[in-house]
Amino acid sequence: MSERLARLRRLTSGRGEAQLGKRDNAPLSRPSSEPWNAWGAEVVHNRIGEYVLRSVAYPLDHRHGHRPLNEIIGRSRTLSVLSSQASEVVEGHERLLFLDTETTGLGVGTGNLAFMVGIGFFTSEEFIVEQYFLRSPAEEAAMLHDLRHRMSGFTHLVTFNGRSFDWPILLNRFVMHRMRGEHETIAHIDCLYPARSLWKHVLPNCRLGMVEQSRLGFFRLDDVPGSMAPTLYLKYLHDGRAQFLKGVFLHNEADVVSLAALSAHFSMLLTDGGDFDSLKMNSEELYRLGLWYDKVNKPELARRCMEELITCAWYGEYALLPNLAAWCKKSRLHDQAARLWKRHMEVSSARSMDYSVCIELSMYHEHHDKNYGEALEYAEEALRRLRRRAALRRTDKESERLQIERRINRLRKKALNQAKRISLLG
Amino acid sequence: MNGLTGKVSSVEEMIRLIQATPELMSQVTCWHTIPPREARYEPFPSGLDPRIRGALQQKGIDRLYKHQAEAFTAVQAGGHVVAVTPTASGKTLCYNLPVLQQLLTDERSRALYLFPTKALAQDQVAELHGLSERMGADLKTHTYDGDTPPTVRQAIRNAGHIVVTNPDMLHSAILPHHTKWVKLFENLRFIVIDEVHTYRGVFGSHVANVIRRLRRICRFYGSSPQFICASATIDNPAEHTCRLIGAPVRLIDNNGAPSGEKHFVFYNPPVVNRQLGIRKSSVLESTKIATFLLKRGIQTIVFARSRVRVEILLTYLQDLVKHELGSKSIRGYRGGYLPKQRREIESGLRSGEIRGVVSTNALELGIDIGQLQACVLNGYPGTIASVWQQSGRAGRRQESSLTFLVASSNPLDQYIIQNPGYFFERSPERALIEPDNLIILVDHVKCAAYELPFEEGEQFGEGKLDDLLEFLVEERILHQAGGRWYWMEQSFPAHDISLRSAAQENFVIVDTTNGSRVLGEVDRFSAPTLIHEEAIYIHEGVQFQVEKLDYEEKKAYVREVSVDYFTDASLAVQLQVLQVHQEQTGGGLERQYGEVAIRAKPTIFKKIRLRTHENVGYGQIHLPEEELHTNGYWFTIPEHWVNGRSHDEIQSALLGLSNILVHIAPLYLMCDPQDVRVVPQVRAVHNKRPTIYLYDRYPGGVGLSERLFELHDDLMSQAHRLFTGCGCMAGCPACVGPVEEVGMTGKTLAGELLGRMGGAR
Repeated sequence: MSERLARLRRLTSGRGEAQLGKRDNAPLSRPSSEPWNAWGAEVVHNRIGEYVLRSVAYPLDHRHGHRPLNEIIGRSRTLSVLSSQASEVVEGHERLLFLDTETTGLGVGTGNLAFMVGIGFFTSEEFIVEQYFLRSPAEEAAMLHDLRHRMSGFTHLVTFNGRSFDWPILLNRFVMHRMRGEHETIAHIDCLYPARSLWKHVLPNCRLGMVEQSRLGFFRLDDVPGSMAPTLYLKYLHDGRAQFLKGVFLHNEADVVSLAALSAHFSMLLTDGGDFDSLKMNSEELYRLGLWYDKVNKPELARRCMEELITCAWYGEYALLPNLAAWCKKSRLHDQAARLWKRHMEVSSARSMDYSVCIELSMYHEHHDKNYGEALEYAEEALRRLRRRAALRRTDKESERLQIERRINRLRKKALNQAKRISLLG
Repeated sequence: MNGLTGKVSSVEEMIRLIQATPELMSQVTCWHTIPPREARYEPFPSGLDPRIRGALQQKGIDRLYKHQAEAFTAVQAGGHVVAVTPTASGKTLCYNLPVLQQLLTDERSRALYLFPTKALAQDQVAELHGLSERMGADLKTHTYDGDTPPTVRQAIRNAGHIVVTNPDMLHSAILPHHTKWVKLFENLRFIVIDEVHTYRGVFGSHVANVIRRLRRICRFYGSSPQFICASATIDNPAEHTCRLIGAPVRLIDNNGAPSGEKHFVFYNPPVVNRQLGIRKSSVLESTKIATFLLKRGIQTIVFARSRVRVEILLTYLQDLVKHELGSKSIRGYRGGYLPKQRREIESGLRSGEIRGVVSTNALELGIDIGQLQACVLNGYPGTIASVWQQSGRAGRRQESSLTFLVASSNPLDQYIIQNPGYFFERSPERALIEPDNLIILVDHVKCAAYELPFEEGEQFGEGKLDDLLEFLVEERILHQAGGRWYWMEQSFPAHDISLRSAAQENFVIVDTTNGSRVLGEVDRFSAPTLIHEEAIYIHEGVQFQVEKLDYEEKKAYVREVSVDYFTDASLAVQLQVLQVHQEQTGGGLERQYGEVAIRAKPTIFKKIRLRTHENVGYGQIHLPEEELHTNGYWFTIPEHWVNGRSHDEIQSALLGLSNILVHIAPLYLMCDPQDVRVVPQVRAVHNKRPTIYLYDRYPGGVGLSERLFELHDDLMSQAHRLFTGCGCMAGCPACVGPVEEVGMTGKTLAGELLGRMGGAR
């Protein structure tokens, strides 16, 4: 075997020998002066083994960026709508467990290890961050054992992209240590989903770092990017020097606090929407917020957003008009929708080739207003616009044209009948 | 014979008719008859669940063949089992019966089925669905492969009683995510591996390691499943299966299925040019024989060695019989047809609606098409085992069957056809694997460590792992802590390790004649020669011309055409030495081991007229070359031997020696002959001297040629022993190659060369 391995070393294109040299310099035992205590961490012993635990406490009125953490107090119940299990109500902010992991790789296979699990939770006096850290993969069983106990009593996990990453990885780890139990069924609020709904069209990306800066006003200084964490940890495993890990601890800690601040932000939006002006939202963001309210079944709040926007749209932000009209139509506010479409036609160029607005107005007058004459006029305008478009496109989309022509024929008949009836009555 | 329709009433009548047709009989070199075999039955085993019994009786089965009953009893007794039975002898019941029995007894039980291809997996699921429906049992059977929609995957993981998949999927999707399969692994009672004979060589060695990983995960979840395997006839089924699964197996080879009389006819096409010794094309002769059979109502399968041949034969046959039978009754069947189309052809064959089928070796495996009456082999398929499997497609229970082997002009075919004893007296080939090949082993130890940390003293296959684990720690791939070795790298190892040499990605063929629809697919390595621009791609006998080949996007756009030619592309293959890692000189012989590049570039294509096979034009192919970087070993022939010999003499000596090496190298390496390539060059590019190269047919190499470099002396003396031990006069496929290939003096020259190189010691 050793002779064959010698061959294998040659095969790995000379890398083998260089590694061999290095290995002799590698320290065989861990340096005695580990920095844990200086970082507020300590080695924890339990009946299975040891691991490192770091705790940090924040006062409840701590401001993360410009968002005070205590804003969540009294509002946490509203977060229930964001939960994976809608029936599981958030009974209080003290039931939320904020969670973020640092892992040795990407993907959710069984070889990917969470070497650091950061959790955060509210007590009556403070917001506590706890970081469970493995000095070696051999400490995992001891750590998971305590983590599992720590989790009991919490009803909801709060993560950022945890539903497809952090949590499946932790579940894997529990299975690997044959630890089964109630932790598996905990409800889950993944902040990535609401963040995407609100900011996908507004921010350059929806990563936590971007959301923090732009919406929580929290800026990180000298942050070790999360993508560096695996490399730093593997280096630590190799040379035993912990100092480079400090940045990873701080990064993870900031992530956990951001989750709490972000939840406070969402809870505030879901409670009363606050004062939209104070949020300094641009109209696009306000529109996305309105749609999101609809999605999480808050029609009143949605309506407030949209009404605010309608004012803006009427007096200058014309580009919003079709979207808002569509929203009104969907919310069965048909008269309002028609007003917005008409405003849109007023303010847009007379040579516009957008015929969909005309069709909408034609439908409105046909089905809601029962004014067939007016409906017919809009349908005819739609056909004119379509022809203008076809001429430019140099092709005729026959199916669209036929559809409009059928509409016109139908409306002609209806308008004629209506006129007859009116004249009979008259 | 029915005077009006020209149809015969039985194969027996057909045989008499052929024997009375001098035009055919004059070309027959051998007519070998294998006597019929009576069925040997056993009653249903007493323990068999009444629901299974009922379901079988509904299908008209009221007793079992001997081997089926034996397999059931052997599995019930515990221990691993391999059943070896010829094509279509009810092999699937050998594993389905014990599995169903267990699932009916304890519905928490699970079984995992492995098939080498997706098509076979789908077949199996259909059959199991049918059975469980008849039993009125709620048994969930699913395929789990690349085609399984993500939405149903979770349900399969949790609730599938029988999960049917392939080794590649097990390797890259199931094992690395075993935590999602807890239910399966905790309750796994049976692992069924069908077609174990296909898991040979490097591919088989990979699969053996995947099975080691599988068993390791089962141990972790506390299950120790029983293996039930099935194999086609090979020389060493029990030994091979034992190495594959890493445990002793009980062999069940007491075939109880009946078979009618089998007639084996060796047919050599007539000589058309006596001076040049040119024979009539085997394609045309196979067409003639198949037409003769089909027109008289005999359901026939034709096997061809390549896809193009399949389509050409199909075109001819459909044309010749279209008035009698209609072209839909003769179909093609090969890799590259879409699954739906394949299913349709399979069921048409079973129902008898389809009277003839032309196939590549795709139908050699256990796809259920029922039994046909006659089989025509267009060319010797290369191995004895393949001939038996292909001819096994013909033969209904009580009826005689007929197999024609039509020789092509290639030397191996000519040898076989003229020396039938060679075929009938030798046992079929052995299946060889080497699961402890170091490079393959390291790959899978990595994957295994990713799946579960290694424990101190843990075994993986035969040997202890300590050295290997230490090596991986040095490479910073594993981390040792607390008596365990943990995966400690950011990558996902299974992604970088492919079980098969050929990449799985396919080129899709899009028919743009009317809108666009996907017609079929072609694997990456065949693409340059089959679907280059202007190629005529024939699909189910219909001609299409390739208008555009999007090499990046792996798509070929074709349009239906009607022309009277097909295309045949030439591939220029170059072997280049990139780097010499080791060398040794001695006795005038120079041996080297190092890195080589094999470059294949399609150059031109010829347009060949249908039926006459004359060349009617050509065109250039503009495609990038395919490159294989691998390891090779080569030796250069001593100068003093070369001097004074003609180019032809050197060539036939090199060829003869290469042919011997092809036979013995796999035995040393425990690999498949396909895994090592031997290339003789009379004037090698790198040193301008006669050289024989052996290289690993795997990207990056798997250490085969390096081993041969080390074993050179043994290899030569073994070659010499084989050479002197062979009783043939001037060469045969078992030693230097058929005389047609190496020439009259080939054997003598190769012998002299071997003697000079020290092989005579």
